[in-house]
Amino acid sequence: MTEQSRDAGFILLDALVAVALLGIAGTVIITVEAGLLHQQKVALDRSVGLTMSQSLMRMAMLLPPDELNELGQQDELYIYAVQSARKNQDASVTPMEVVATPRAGADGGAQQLAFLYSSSADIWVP
Amino acid sequence: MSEDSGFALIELLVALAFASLATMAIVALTISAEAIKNRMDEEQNIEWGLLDVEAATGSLSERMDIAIMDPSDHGFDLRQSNAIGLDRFDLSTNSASDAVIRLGTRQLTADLSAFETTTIEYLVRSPGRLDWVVASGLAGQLPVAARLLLSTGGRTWRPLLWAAPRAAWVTDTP
Repeated sequence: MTEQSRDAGFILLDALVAVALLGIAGTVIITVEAGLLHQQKVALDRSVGLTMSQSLMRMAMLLPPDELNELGQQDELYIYAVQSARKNQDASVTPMEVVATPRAGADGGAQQLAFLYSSSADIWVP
Repeated sequence: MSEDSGFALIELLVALAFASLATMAIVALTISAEAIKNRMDEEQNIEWGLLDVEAATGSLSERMDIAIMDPSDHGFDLRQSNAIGLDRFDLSTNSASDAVIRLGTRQLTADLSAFETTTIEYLVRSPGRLDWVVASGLAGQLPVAARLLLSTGGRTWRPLLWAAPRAAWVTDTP
């Protein structure tokens, strides 16, 4: 009688430990899954930003320099700015960059796409 | 005897609890794996579509004139406008929802089936500003650039499809 009830108590303890382990495993799996889904969401957001940055970059290559800032645009996810990256001695080629800053409330960091702006030739003519 | 049966009952209950937990866990795993796989497929389709557009526009390396297209049931229809060389640039969608970009004898297709809506926007210049309008909003103006609007799931991709040579941007002063 005593042995049997002790056995039963031992089995119950086993069961509790197993449930706890299952719970931990479940939590880990759910965390990993949420991470994966979030990563995919961010990857899609990034591709939106990169596509738009690329479009702006190509148009910036064709625009007169003083109208570059007119291209400063925004979409649902990012605010874009076309700006010069740094000073260069060679005046004919200016390093430029498109910076995509996430709008308030969106996650992810700013993205930069650098390019060379030439004031003399058509660099990108589709 | 009665203690034996009580012990068996506990074992049975524990076994049942384990079985139901395991079942729930397997079902949950299957559902979440499915969700992740769907999202990955969607992402991949979108990336392929964007790459297709990229490849198509990149291959159209010659200077070309632009045709004005209105969205229609089967894609985009050419519209008569004052643009020069209307027959040289054409974008339409075929039955497989591929976008077809044509230049002369060359034809390139882009699979845009990953996107729910596809539209074309045109960039028009007025003094001091640049505006994106749809084909119906052009009102006879010549666009300096055209881009696709691809949206799905609340996101919108805007790849540039065509841009006028620099001369058109610089000398366009009304």
